[in-house]
Amino acid sequence: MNEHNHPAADRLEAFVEGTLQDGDRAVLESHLLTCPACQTQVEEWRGLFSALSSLPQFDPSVGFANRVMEHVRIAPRAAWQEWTDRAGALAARIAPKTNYGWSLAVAFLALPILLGGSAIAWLVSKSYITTDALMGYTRDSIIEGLQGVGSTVITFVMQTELTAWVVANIGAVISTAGVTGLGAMLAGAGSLTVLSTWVLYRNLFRSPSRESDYALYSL
Amino acid sequence: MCRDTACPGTGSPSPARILDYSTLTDQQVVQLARDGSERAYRELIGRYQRPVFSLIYRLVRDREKAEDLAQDTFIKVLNAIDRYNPEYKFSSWIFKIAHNTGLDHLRRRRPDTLSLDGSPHARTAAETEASTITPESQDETPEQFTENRELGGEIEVAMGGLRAEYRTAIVLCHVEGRPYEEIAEIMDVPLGTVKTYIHRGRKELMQKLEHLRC
Repeated sequence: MNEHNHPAADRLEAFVEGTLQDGDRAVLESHLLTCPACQTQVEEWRGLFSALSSLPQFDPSVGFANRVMEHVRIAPRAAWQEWTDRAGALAARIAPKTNYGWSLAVAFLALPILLGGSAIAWLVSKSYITTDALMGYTRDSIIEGLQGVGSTVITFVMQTELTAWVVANIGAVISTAGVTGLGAMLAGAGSLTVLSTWVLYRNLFRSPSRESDYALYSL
Repeated sequence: MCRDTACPGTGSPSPARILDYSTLTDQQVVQLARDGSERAYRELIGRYQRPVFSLIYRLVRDREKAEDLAQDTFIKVLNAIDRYNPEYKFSSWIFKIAHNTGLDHLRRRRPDTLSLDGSPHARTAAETEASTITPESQDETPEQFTENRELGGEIEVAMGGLRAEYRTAIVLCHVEGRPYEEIAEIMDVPLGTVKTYIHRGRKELMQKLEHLRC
């Protein structure tokens, strides 16, 4: 309020614009009830706001779009550009956003390199370890490891109640629905799996940007 | 690839025939343009030709020049569509280029403040006369008549007297309905500066239009 106890013009403008805080607004509203001078100013601001918001847009002359298009180069993007865009977007999404995050990521990535490097240095320092022996040992270890994992998984799956139920009921299914029925059931289950995988892929990795997608949506 | 027309040999319309571009967001249309769809380019022009042309027209106040500058704006934007960052609003990007294009033109046109009474650096009467600008004939061509009618309302005349930055801020705020944050992004100034531009612009308009209230 100024020396005549009227609110400043800026506040009246903010009042009309609707940007005054609730408390200030209430004070001003009660002042306006008894002040014709401020009421007039508010009406003037309202008039200006109304005149400004009714200003028209203008059209350029006919053929504007064609004149622009004469100078536009339309080059379809190569498929690899889309993949590089996606790779870039994925990298931007998973890249650390802070210095602390970068430090942690570098430390995490450096750890196996340091450990692996140390191990290789130790092995190379032993005269009785040859390259052929080392390669053979690595290959055998990998095969053994995979066999171990495979047998563990198969044993685990076979011991579950679901597997036992499926095995126990499979004979019953074949006797009632026949081999064709069993095939139909497997095909149904397979389709559901494919569908769910597609939904996951679509929602997690694929952005809905292809023209054919929009065509489907707009049908 | 046949995106915008019926696929040759098949006789059936491509998906783009069925596609209703007007229902897509700006980002989706931009993506289609990046994929090489001419219709997508035309859709973007259709969406923004009025607001972009209006903004530039109010800046330069010359229809013919505004058309050239609006055309330049679209050519710049559409030829750089591959470099557009979809994290930002497309409207902010195109308005920013339109505003800068308009301002560049104004700066080129008026390197110094011109005086109708001759150069302030003139030392003799002859130099003063030589540097005096004679206004052109007051007879209006049909084009000028149309322009004057378009921008001839009291408020448009008053707007023409504002600084270009105030004009852009007020047009974006009141005509285009853009929020202050977006206007700040478009004009590349802090939010507080936008508020100041709009406040001062309105205040000047109130003063310029005062005679109408008497």
